[in-house]
Amino acid sequence: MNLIETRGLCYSYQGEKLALDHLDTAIPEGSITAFLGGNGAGKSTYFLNLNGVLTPDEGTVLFRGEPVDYHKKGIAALRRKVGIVFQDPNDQLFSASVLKDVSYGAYNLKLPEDEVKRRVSLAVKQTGIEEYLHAPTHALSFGQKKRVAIAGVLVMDPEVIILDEPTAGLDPSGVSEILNLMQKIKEENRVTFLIATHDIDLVPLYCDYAYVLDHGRVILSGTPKEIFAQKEILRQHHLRLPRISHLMEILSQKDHLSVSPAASTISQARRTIHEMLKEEKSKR
Amino acid sequence: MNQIDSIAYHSKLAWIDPKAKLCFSLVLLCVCIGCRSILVGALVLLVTAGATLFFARLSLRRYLHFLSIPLGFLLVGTLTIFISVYPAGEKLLAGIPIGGSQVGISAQSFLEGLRLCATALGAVGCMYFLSFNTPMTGLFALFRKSPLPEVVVSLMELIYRYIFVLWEEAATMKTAQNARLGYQGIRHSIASFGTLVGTLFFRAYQRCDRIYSALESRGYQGSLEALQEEYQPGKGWYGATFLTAAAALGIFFLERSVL
Repeated sequence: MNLIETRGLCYSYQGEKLALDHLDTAIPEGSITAFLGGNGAGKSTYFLNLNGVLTPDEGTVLFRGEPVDYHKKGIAALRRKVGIVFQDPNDQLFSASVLKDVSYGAYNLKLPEDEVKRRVSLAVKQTGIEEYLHAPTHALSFGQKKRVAIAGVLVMDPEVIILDEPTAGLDPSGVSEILNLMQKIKEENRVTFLIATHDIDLVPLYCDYAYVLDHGRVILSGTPKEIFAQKEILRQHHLRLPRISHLMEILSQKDHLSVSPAASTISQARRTIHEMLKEEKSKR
Repeated sequence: MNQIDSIAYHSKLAWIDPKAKLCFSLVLLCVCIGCRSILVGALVLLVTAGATLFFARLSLRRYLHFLSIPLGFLLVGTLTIFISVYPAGEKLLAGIPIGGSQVGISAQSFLEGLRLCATALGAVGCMYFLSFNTPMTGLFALFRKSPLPEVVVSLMELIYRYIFVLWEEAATMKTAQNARLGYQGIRHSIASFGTLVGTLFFRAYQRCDRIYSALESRGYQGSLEALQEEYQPGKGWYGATFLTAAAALGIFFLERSVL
Protein backbone atom coordinates (compact mmCIF):
# COMPACT_ATOMS: atom_id res chain seq x y z
CA MET A 1 0.00 0.00 0.00
CA ASN A 2 1.15 3.52 -0.67
CA LEU A 3 1.87 5.38 2.51
CA ILE A 4 2.06 8.76 0.83
CA GLU A 5 0.58 9.78 -2.46
CA THR A 6 0.35 13.12 -4.17
CA ARG A 7 -2.04 13.84 -7.01
CA GLY A 8 -1.58 16.85 -9.24
CA LEU A 9 0.35 18.67 -6.53
CA CYS A 10 1.04 22.30 -7.43
CA TYR A 11 2.84 24.89 -5.37
CA SER A 12 4.29 28.29 -6.12
CA TYR A 13 6.11 30.69 -3.84
CA GLN A 14 4.19 33.99 -3.68
CA GLY A 15 2.49 33.41 -7.00
CA GLU A 16 5.72 33.10 -8.97
CA LYS A 17 6.15 30.34 -11.50
CA LEU A 18 5.23 26.89 -10.30
CA ALA A 19 7.82 25.32 -8.03
CA LEU A 20 5.80 22.11 -8.17
CA ASP A 21 3.93 21.47 -11.39
CA HIS A 22 1.23 18.80 -11.12
CA LEU A 23 3.37 16.33 -9.24
CA ASP A 24 2.10 12.74 -9.04
CA THR A 25 4.05 10.56 -6.66
CA ALA A 26 3.39 7.37 -4.72
CA ILE A 27 5.60 6.20 -1.88
CA PRO A 28 5.17 2.55 -0.83
CA GLU A 29 5.26 1.82 2.88
CA GLY A 30 8.56 0.57 4.27
CA SER A 31 10.60 1.68 1.27
CA ILE A 32 13.49 4.05 0.80
CA THR A 33 12.72 6.38 -2.07
CA ALA A 34 15.28 8.74 -3.56
CA PHE A 35 14.47 12.08 -5.14
CA LEU A 36 17.03 13.14 -7.70
CA GLY A 37 17.28 16.44 -9.48
CA GLY A 38 19.41 19.52 -9.68
CA ASN A 39 19.11 22.51 -7.39
CA GLY A 40 15.73 24.17 -7.77
CA ALA A 41 14.12 20.98 -9.10
CA GLY A 42 11.48 21.24 -6.37
CA LYS A 43 12.63 18.53 -3.97
CA SER A 44 12.63 20.66 -0.84
CA THR A 45 9.33 22.29 -1.74
CA TYR A 46 7.81 18.85 -2.28
CA PHE A 47 9.03 17.69 1.13
CA LEU A 48 7.65 20.75 2.91
CA ASN A 49 4.28 20.03 1.29
CA LEU A 50 4.30 16.47 2.63
CA ASN A 51 4.84 17.69 6.15
CA GLY A 52 2.23 20.45 6.05
CA VAL A 53 4.70 23.31 6.45
CA LEU A 54 3.56 24.43 3.00
CA THR A 55 -0.04 24.08 1.83
CA PRO A 56 -0.48 23.04 -1.81
CA ASP A 57 -2.07 25.52 -4.22
CA GLU A 58 -3.74 22.70 -6.08
CA GLY A 59 -3.91 18.93 -5.90
CA THR A 60 -3.93 16.66 -2.89
CA VAL A 61 -1.55 14.92 -0.55
CA LEU A 62 -2.86 11.56 0.67
CA PHE A 63 -1.53 9.86 3.77
CA ARG A 64 -2.59 6.19 3.97
CA GLY A 65 -5.13 6.95 1.29
CA GLU A 66 -6.73 9.78 3.28
CA PRO A 67 -6.44 13.35 1.99
CA VAL A 68 -4.55 15.56 4.43
CA ASP A 69 -6.71 17.82 6.55
CA TYR A 70 -5.17 21.29 6.61
CA HIS A 71 -6.86 22.42 9.78
CA LYS A 72 -4.76 22.86 12.87
CA LYS A 73 -5.42 19.39 14.23
CA GLY A 74 -4.85 17.61 10.94
CA ILE A 75 -1.57 19.43 10.40
CA ALA A 76 -0.36 18.56 13.88
CA ALA A 77 -1.19 14.90 13.27
CA LEU A 78 0.58 14.97 9.90
CA ARG A 79 3.72 16.50 11.40
CA ARG A 80 3.81 13.80 14.02
CA LYS A 81 3.78 11.15 11.30
CA VAL A 82 6.14 12.83 8.84
CA GLY A 83 9.46 14.05 10.20
CA ILE A 84 11.94 16.13 8.23
CA VAL A 85 15.68 16.24 8.79
CA PHE A 86 16.90 19.41 7.10
CA GLN A 87 20.04 19.68 5.04
CA ASP A 88 21.84 22.09 7.33
CA PRO A 89 21.58 20.86 10.91
CA ASN A 90 22.19 24.43 12.09
CA ASP A 91 18.74 25.30 10.74
CA GLN A 92 17.17 22.56 12.80
CA LEU A 93 19.07 22.63 16.08
CA PHE A 94 17.67 25.72 17.74
CA SER A 95 18.87 25.04 21.25
CA ALA A 96 22.36 25.12 22.71
CA SER A 97 21.41 22.11 24.82
CA VAL A 98 21.50 18.85 22.86
CA LEU A 99 19.15 17.16 25.32
CA LYS A 100 16.63 19.95 25.01
CA ASP A 101 16.79 19.93 21.24
CA VAL A 102 16.30 16.18 20.97
CA SER A 103 13.31 16.25 23.30
CA TYR A 104 11.59 19.23 21.64
CA GLY A 105 9.41 17.31 19.16
CA ALA A 106 8.22 14.81 21.77
CA TYR A 107 7.57 17.62 24.23
CA ASN A 108 5.34 19.33 21.69
CA LEU A 109 3.21 16.19 21.47
CA LYS A 110 2.18 16.93 25.08
CA LEU A 111 3.28 13.48 26.21
CA PRO A 112 3.84 12.76 29.91
CA GLU A 113 7.37 13.60 30.97
CA ASP A 114 8.35 9.97 31.60
CA GLU A 115 7.36 9.06 28.07
CA VAL A 116 9.35 12.00 26.66
CA LYS A 117 12.38 10.85 28.62
CA ARG A 118 11.93 7.25 27.49
CA ARG A 119 11.76 8.30 23.85
CA VAL A 120 14.73 10.61 24.19
CA SER A 121 16.92 7.90 25.68
CA LEU A 122 15.82 5.45 22.95
CA ALA A 123 16.58 7.92 20.16
CA VAL A 124 19.88 8.89 21.76
CA LYS A 125 20.92 5.25 21.94
CA GLN A 126 19.82 4.48 18.40
CA THR A 127 21.68 7.41 16.87
CA GLY A 128 24.72 6.90 19.10
CA ILE A 129 24.89 10.42 20.51
CA GLU A 130 25.19 9.51 24.22
CA GLU A 131 28.70 10.92 24.36
CA TYR A 132 27.76 14.45 23.48
CA LEU A 133 24.28 14.61 24.96
CA HIS A 134 25.50 17.11 27.55
CA ALA A 135 27.85 19.07 25.30
CA PRO A 136 26.68 22.40 23.84
CA THR A 137 25.35 22.15 20.29
CA HIS A 138 27.96 24.55 18.92
CA ALA A 139 30.79 22.30 20.08
CA LEU A 140 29.63 19.40 17.86
CA SER A 141 31.00 18.53 14.44
CA PHE A 142 28.78 18.64 11.36
CA GLY A 143 28.25 14.87 11.37
CA GLN A 144 27.43 14.86 15.07
CA LYS A 145 24.90 17.64 14.56
CA LYS A 146 23.31 15.61 11.79
CA ARG A 147 22.83 12.68 14.16
CA VAL A 148 21.35 14.95 16.80
CA ALA A 149 18.94 16.31 14.17
CA ILE A 150 17.87 12.75 13.29
CA ALA A 151 17.38 11.91 16.98
CA GLY A 152 15.22 15.04 17.29
CA VAL A 153 12.90 13.65 14.61
CA LEU A 154 12.95 10.07 15.93
CA VAL A 155 11.48 11.08 19.30
CA MET A 156 8.25 11.98 17.53
CA ASP A 157 7.99 8.31 16.51
CA PRO A 158 7.23 9.17 12.87
CA GLU A 159 6.10 6.76 10.19
CA VAL A 160 8.00 8.66 7.51
CA ILE A 161 11.36 10.36 7.80
CA ILE A 162 12.47 12.76 5.10
CA LEU A 163 16.21 13.33 4.79
CA ASP A 164 17.15 16.37 2.75
CA GLU A 165 20.67 15.81 1.38
CA PRO A 166 21.70 13.45 4.18
CA THR A 167 25.24 13.00 2.88
CA ALA A 168 26.10 16.58 1.90
CA GLY A 169 29.11 17.95 3.74
CA LEU A 170 30.10 14.66 5.39
CA ASP A 171 33.39 12.83 5.05
CA PRO A 172 33.33 9.32 3.49
CA SER A 173 33.03 7.49 6.79
CA GLY A 174 30.37 9.98 7.92
CA VAL A 175 28.40 9.24 4.76
CA SER A 176 28.32 5.51 5.29
CA GLU A 177 27.55 5.96 9.00
CA ILE A 178 24.51 8.10 8.24
CA LEU A 179 23.27 5.74 5.53
CA ASN A 180 23.72 2.69 7.75
CA LEU A 181 21.87 4.53 10.50
CA MET A 182 19.05 5.13 8.02
CA GLN A 183 18.83 1.41 7.22
CA LYS A 184 18.94 0.48 10.89
CA ILE A 185 16.09 2.88 11.67
CA LYS A 186 14.14 1.58 8.70
CA GLU A 187 14.39 -1.97 9.98
CA GLU A 188 14.02 -1.35 13.71
CA ASN A 189 11.28 1.29 13.61
CA ARG A 190 9.68 0.28 10.31
CA VAL A 191 10.02 3.81 9.03
CA THR A 192 9.55 4.79 5.40
CA PHE A 193 12.33 7.04 4.13
CA LEU A 194 12.33 9.75 1.50
CA ILE A 195 15.70 11.18 0.65
CA ALA A 196 16.78 14.01 -1.60
CA THR A 197 20.30 13.53 -2.82
CA HIS A 198 22.90 14.53 -5.36
CA ASP A 199 24.87 11.42 -4.56
CA ILE A 200 23.72 9.16 -7.37
CA ASP A 201 25.99 6.31 -6.38
CA LEU A 202 24.09 5.68 -3.18
CA VAL A 203 20.77 5.22 -4.97
CA PRO A 204 21.32 1.66 -6.29
CA LEU A 205 22.88 0.69 -2.97
CA TYR A 206 20.24 1.92 -0.55
CA CYS A 207 17.07 2.87 -2.39
CA ASP A 208 14.08 0.81 -3.47
CA TYR A 209 12.60 3.50 -5.69
CA ALA A 210 13.67 6.75 -7.21
CA TYR A 211 12.10 9.82 -8.74
CA VAL A 212 13.80 12.25 -11.04
CA LEU A 213 12.42 15.78 -10.76
CA ASP A 214 13.13 18.82 -12.87
CA HIS A 215 11.37 22.19 -12.82
CA GLY A 216 8.82 20.79 -10.40
CA ARG A 217 7.79 17.92 -12.65
CA VAL A 218 8.34 14.17 -12.44
CA ILE A 219 10.66 13.21 -15.28
CA LEU A 220 11.24 9.58 -14.39
CA SER A 221 10.11 7.22 -11.69
CA GLY A 222 10.63 3.57 -10.85
CA THR A 223 13.21 1.26 -9.35
CA PRO A 224 16.84 2.37 -9.62
CA LYS A 225 17.31 -0.21 -12.36
CA GLU A 226 14.48 1.26 -14.41
CA ILE A 227 15.71 4.79 -13.87
CA PHE A 228 19.30 4.10 -14.80
CA ALA A 229 18.21 2.33 -17.97
CA GLN A 230 17.08 5.77 -19.22
CA LYS A 231 20.52 7.30 -19.40
CA GLU A 232 19.72 9.76 -22.19
CA ILE A 233 16.87 11.33 -20.22
CA LEU A 234 19.03 11.46 -17.09
CA ARG A 235 21.74 13.31 -18.96
CA GLN A 236 19.27 15.76 -20.44
CA HIS A 237 18.31 16.70 -16.91
CA HIS A 238 21.87 17.26 -15.67
CA LEU A 239 22.13 13.94 -13.88
CA ARG A 240 24.45 11.06 -14.57
CA LEU A 241 24.62 7.31 -14.16
CA PRO A 242 26.19 5.77 -11.08
CA ARG A 243 29.94 5.39 -11.71
CA ILE A 244 29.67 1.62 -11.86
CA SER A 245 26.81 1.75 -14.38
CA HIS A 246 28.84 4.13 -16.47
CA LEU A 247 31.78 1.76 -16.41
CA MET A 248 29.55 -1.15 -17.40
CA GLU A 249 28.11 0.92 -20.22
CA ILE A 250 31.59 1.66 -21.57
CA LEU A 251 32.70 -1.96 -21.19
CA SER A 252 29.73 -3.29 -23.05
CA GLN A 253 29.42 -0.64 -25.77
CA LYS A 254 32.96 0.45 -26.49
CA ASP A 255 34.87 -2.67 -25.54
CA HIS A 256 32.11 -5.10 -26.57
CA LEU A 257 32.49 -7.15 -23.43
CA SER A 258 29.47 -9.20 -22.53
CA VAL A 259 28.81 -7.59 -19.13
CA SER A 260 25.33 -6.57 -18.06
CA PRO A 261 25.00 -2.79 -18.41
CA ALA A 262 22.34 -2.86 -15.69
CA ALA A 263 24.90 -3.59 -12.96
CA SER A 264 25.09 -0.44 -10.85
CA THR A 265 26.74 -1.50 -7.61
CA ILE A 266 30.12 -3.05 -6.89
CA SER A 267 28.61 -6.42 -6.01
CA GLN A 268 26.45 -6.51 -9.14
CA ALA A 269 29.44 -5.56 -11.28
CA ARG A 270 31.53 -8.25 -9.65
CA ARG A 271 28.85 -10.84 -10.36
CA THR A 272 28.48 -9.94 -14.03
CA ILE A 273 32.25 -9.85 -14.57
CA HIS A 274 32.59 -13.28 -12.95
CA GLU A 275 29.84 -14.60 -15.21
CA MET A 276 31.53 -13.14 -18.25
CA LEU A 277 34.85 -14.76 -17.31
CA LYS A 278 33.14 -18.12 -16.77
CA GLU A 279 31.54 -17.90 -20.19
CA GLU A 280 34.87 -17.09 -21.84
CA LYS A 281 36.44 -20.11 -20.15
CA SER A 282 33.72 -22.48 -21.25
CA LYS A 283 33.95 -21.12 -24.82
CA ARG A 284 37.60 -22.08 -24.90
CA MET B 1 33.82 34.73 24.59
CA ASN B 2 34.22 31.30 23.01
CA GLN B 3 36.91 30.45 25.53
CA ILE B 4 34.81 31.35 28.55
CA ASP B 5 31.90 29.39 27.11
CA SER B 6 33.94 26.26 26.65
CA ILE B 7 35.52 26.57 30.11
CA ALA B 8 32.05 26.75 31.65
CA TYR B 9 30.94 23.50 30.00
CA HIS B 10 34.02 21.71 31.31
CA SER B 11 33.84 23.05 34.86
CA LYS B 12 33.40 20.57 37.70
CA LEU B 13 30.44 22.68 38.76
CA ALA B 14 28.77 22.73 35.34
CA TRP B 15 25.98 20.40 36.41
CA ILE B 16 25.42 21.86 39.88
CA ASP B 17 22.13 23.69 40.32
CA PRO B 18 22.71 27.09 38.66
CA LYS B 19 20.54 28.72 41.32
CA ALA B 20 23.11 27.92 44.02
CA LYS B 21 25.94 29.38 41.95
CA LEU B 22 23.92 32.47 41.08
CA CYS B 23 23.13 32.96 44.77
CA PHE B 24 26.81 32.60 45.73
CA SER B 25 28.06 35.10 43.19
CA LEU B 26 25.23 37.63 43.52
CA VAL B 27 25.28 37.76 47.33
CA LEU B 28 29.04 38.21 47.38
CA LEU B 29 28.77 40.82 44.65
CA CYS B 30 26.29 42.82 46.72
CA VAL B 31 28.40 42.50 49.86
CA CYS B 32 31.52 43.55 47.99
CA ILE B 33 29.93 46.60 46.41
CA GLY B 34 28.02 47.49 49.57
CA CYS B 35 31.07 47.47 51.85
CA ARG B 36 33.47 49.33 49.54
CA SER B 37 36.35 48.17 51.63
CA ILE B 38 39.83 47.11 50.51
CA LEU B 39 39.91 44.06 52.74
CA VAL B 40 36.40 42.87 51.81
CA GLY B 41 37.20 43.32 48.12
CA ALA B 42 40.40 41.34 48.54
CA LEU B 43 38.62 38.59 50.47
CA VAL B 44 35.84 38.25 47.90
CA LEU B 45 38.35 38.20 45.04
CA LEU B 46 40.42 35.59 46.86
CA VAL B 47 37.46 33.31 47.56
CA THR B 48 35.86 33.57 44.13
CA ALA B 49 39.17 33.32 42.28
CA GLY B 50 40.21 30.35 44.39
CA ALA B 51 36.92 28.58 43.74
CA THR B 52 37.14 29.33 40.01
CA LEU B 53 40.73 28.10 39.75
CA PHE B 54 39.88 24.90 41.54
CA PHE B 55 36.48 24.02 40.06
CA ALA B 56 36.86 25.37 36.53
CA ARG B 57 40.36 23.84 36.37
CA LEU B 58 41.95 27.05 35.20
CA SER B 59 45.65 27.74 35.54
CA LEU B 60 46.54 30.88 37.50
CA ARG B 61 48.14 32.32 34.40
CA ARG B 62 44.99 31.93 32.38
CA TYR B 63 42.87 33.40 35.14
CA LEU B 64 45.19 36.40 35.46
CA HIS B 65 44.95 36.85 31.71
CA PHE B 66 41.17 37.03 31.96
CA LEU B 67 41.45 39.33 34.97
CA SER B 68 43.71 41.67 33.02
CA ILE B 69 40.95 42.33 30.48
CA PRO B 70 38.91 44.63 32.77
CA LEU B 71 42.11 45.87 34.44
CA GLY B 72 42.79 48.29 31.59
CA PHE B 73 39.38 49.91 31.96
CA LEU B 74 39.83 49.99 35.71
CA LEU B 75 43.16 51.80 35.50
CA VAL B 76 41.84 54.43 33.15
CA GLY B 77 38.78 54.88 35.35
CA THR B 78 40.68 55.21 38.65
CA LEU B 79 43.51 57.36 37.33
CA THR B 80 41.57 60.55 38.00
CA ILE B 81 40.85 59.41 41.54
CA PHE B 82 44.47 58.54 42.28
CA ILE B 83 45.89 61.72 40.82
CA SER B 84 44.53 65.21 41.47
CA VAL B 85 45.73 68.79 41.67
CA TYR B 86 46.62 70.11 45.13
CA PRO B 87 47.75 73.54 46.37
CA ALA B 88 51.52 73.83 46.77
CA GLY B 89 52.88 72.84 50.17
CA GLU B 90 50.33 70.11 50.92
CA LYS B 91 51.89 66.84 51.99
CA LEU B 92 51.68 64.24 49.24
CA LEU B 93 52.92 60.68 48.72
CA ALA B 94 54.28 61.68 45.35
CA GLY B 95 53.83 64.74 43.21
CA ILE B 96 55.33 67.20 40.81
CA PRO B 97 54.95 70.94 41.32
CA ILE B 98 53.46 72.76 38.38
CA GLY B 99 53.35 76.50 38.72
CA GLY B 100 51.63 77.51 41.96
CA SER B 101 50.13 74.07 42.61
CA GLN B 102 51.18 70.44 42.42
CA VAL B 103 49.85 67.33 40.75
CA GLY B 104 50.16 64.04 42.59
CA ILE B 105 48.81 61.34 44.88
CA SER B 106 47.86 62.06 48.46
CA ALA B 107 47.52 59.41 51.14
CA GLN B 108 43.77 59.83 51.12
CA SER B 109 43.34 59.65 47.36
CA PHE B 110 45.63 56.63 47.28
CA LEU B 111 43.42 54.80 49.78
CA GLU B 112 40.29 55.84 47.93
CA GLY B 113 41.70 54.57 44.64
CA LEU B 114 42.77 51.27 46.16
CA ARG B 115 39.32 50.87 47.70
CA LEU B 116 37.71 51.33 44.32
CA CYS B 117 40.08 48.91 42.63
CA ALA B 118 39.56 46.25 45.28
CA THR B 119 35.80 46.59 45.11
CA ALA B 120 35.79 46.40 41.32
CA LEU B 121 38.12 43.39 41.21
CA GLY B 122 36.08 41.61 43.88
CA ALA B 123 32.97 42.19 41.78
CA VAL B 124 34.74 40.92 38.67
CA GLY B 125 35.77 37.83 40.63
CA CYS B 126 32.10 37.15 41.47
CA MET B 127 30.99 37.48 37.86
CA TYR B 128 33.90 35.34 36.65
CA PHE B 129 32.97 32.65 39.13
CA LEU B 130 29.47 32.57 37.68
CA SER B 131 30.48 32.69 34.03
CA PHE B 132 33.37 30.20 34.29
CA ASN B 133 31.27 27.62 36.11
CA THR B 134 27.78 27.99 34.66
CA PRO B 135 26.94 26.98 31.09
CA MET B 136 24.45 29.39 29.51
CA THR B 137 21.91 26.59 29.14
CA GLY B 138 21.83 26.36 32.94
CA LEU B 139 21.08 30.05 33.25
CA PHE B 140 18.29 29.78 30.67
CA ALA B 141 16.74 26.95 32.67
CA LEU B 142 16.85 29.24 35.69
CA PHE B 143 15.35 32.19 33.80
CA ARG B 144 12.48 29.98 32.63
CA LYS B 145 11.46 29.50 36.26
CA SER B 146 11.84 33.22 37.00
CA PRO B 147 9.09 35.77 36.34
CA LEU B 148 10.86 36.83 33.11
CA PRO B 149 8.45 36.58 30.16
CA GLU B 150 8.71 33.37 28.17
CA VAL B 151 9.36 35.21 24.91
CA VAL B 152 12.37 37.03 26.35
CA VAL B 153 13.97 33.81 27.54
CA SER B 154 13.24 32.11 24.20
CA LEU B 155 14.85 35.00 22.38
CA MET B 156 17.90 34.79 24.62
CA GLU B 157 18.22 31.10 23.89
CA LEU B 158 17.92 31.55 20.13
CA ILE B 159 20.35 34.46 20.11
CA TYR B 160 22.88 32.51 22.15
CA ARG B 161 22.59 29.50 19.86
CA TYR B 162 22.88 31.46 16.63
CA ILE B 163 25.72 33.73 17.75
CA PHE B 164 27.97 30.75 17.18
CA VAL B 165 26.48 29.94 13.79
CA LEU B 166 26.80 33.53 12.59
CA TRP B 167 30.27 33.78 14.06
CA GLU B 168 31.39 30.72 12.13
CA GLU B 169 29.83 32.04 8.95
CA ALA B 170 31.48 35.43 9.37
CA ALA B 171 34.84 33.81 10.06
CA THR B 172 34.61 31.72 6.88
CA MET B 173 33.65 34.76 4.83
CA LYS B 174 36.48 36.79 6.29
CA THR B 175 38.98 34.07 5.45
CA ALA B 176 37.63 33.95 1.91
CA GLN B 177 38.00 37.73 1.61
CA ASN B 178 41.48 37.59 3.09
CA ALA B 179 42.45 34.95 0.58
CA ARG B 180 41.63 37.47 -2.15
CA LEU B 181 43.56 40.26 -0.38
CA GLY B 182 40.40 41.94 0.85
CA TYR B 183 41.97 43.46 3.94
CA GLN B 184 45.02 45.22 2.56
CA GLY B 185 44.88 48.86 3.47
CA ILE B 186 42.17 50.80 5.22
CA ARG B 187 40.03 51.46 2.15
CA HIS B 188 39.89 47.82 1.16
CA SER B 189 39.28 46.75 4.73
CA ILE B 190 36.31 49.07 5.14
CA ALA B 191 34.79 47.96 1.85
CA SER B 192 35.31 44.27 2.61
CA PHE B 193 33.94 44.58 6.10
CA GLY B 194 30.86 46.33 4.75
CA THR B 195 30.18 43.55 2.27
CA LEU B 196 30.72 40.97 4.97
CA VAL B 197 28.20 42.55 7.31
CA GLY B 198 25.69 43.03 4.49
CA THR B 199 25.96 39.44 3.35
CA LEU B 200 25.73 38.23 6.92
CA PHE B 201 22.47 40.12 7.43
CA PHE B 202 21.04 38.72 4.25
CA ARG B 203 22.04 35.16 5.11
CA ALA B 204 20.69 35.52 8.63
CA TYR B 205 17.38 36.65 7.17
CA GLN B 206 17.24 33.65 4.85
CA ARG B 207 18.17 31.34 7.68
CA CYS B 208 15.26 32.70 9.72
CA ASP B 209 12.82 31.21 7.24
CA ARG B 210 14.50 27.85 7.33
CA ILE B 211 14.67 27.79 11.12
CA TYR B 212 10.99 28.62 11.27
CA SER B 213 10.10 25.80 8.84
CA ALA B 214 12.23 23.39 10.85
CA LEU B 215 10.56 24.43 14.11
CA GLU B 216 7.12 24.15 12.55
CA SER B 217 7.82 20.68 11.24
CA ARG B 218 8.55 19.59 14.79
CA GLY B 219 5.27 20.94 16.07
CA TYR B 220 6.21 24.49 17.14
CA GLN B 221 3.19 26.23 18.65
CA GLY B 222 4.73 29.36 20.06
CA SER B 223 6.89 27.84 22.74
CA LEU B 224 10.48 26.64 22.81
CA GLU B 225 10.07 24.68 26.00
CA ALA B 226 11.37 21.13 26.18
CA LEU B 227 13.14 18.82 28.59
CA GLN B 228 15.69 20.57 30.78
CA GLU B 229 18.99 19.18 31.91
CA GLU B 230 18.91 17.79 35.41
CA TYR B 231 21.19 19.47 37.92
CA GLN B 232 22.70 18.20 41.13
CA PRO B 233 21.52 20.17 44.15
CA GLY B 234 24.09 22.74 45.26
CA LYS B 235 23.31 22.83 48.98
CA GLY B 236 26.94 23.31 50.00
CA TRP B 237 27.05 26.53 48.03
CA TYR B 238 24.40 28.19 50.16
CA GLY B 239 26.54 27.41 53.19
CA ALA B 240 29.63 28.77 51.45
CA THR B 241 27.70 31.90 50.53
CA PHE B 242 26.67 32.43 54.14
CA LEU B 243 30.15 31.83 55.55
CA THR B 244 31.95 34.08 53.10
CA ALA B 245 29.39 36.85 53.42
CA ALA B 246 29.59 36.64 57.23
CA ALA B 247 33.39 36.76 57.15
CA ALA B 248 33.30 39.74 54.78
CA LEU B 249 30.84 41.63 56.97
CA GLY B 250 32.91 40.75 60.05
CA ILE B 251 36.01 42.22 58.44
CA PHE B 252 34.05 45.24 57.34
CA PHE B 253 32.83 46.09 60.84
CA LEU B 254 36.19 45.31 62.41
CA GLU B 255 37.91 47.59 59.92
CA ARG B 256 35.42 50.35 60.67
CA SER B 257 35.80 50.18 64.42
CA VAL B 258 39.60 50.18 64.15
CA LEU B 259 39.90 53.06 61.69
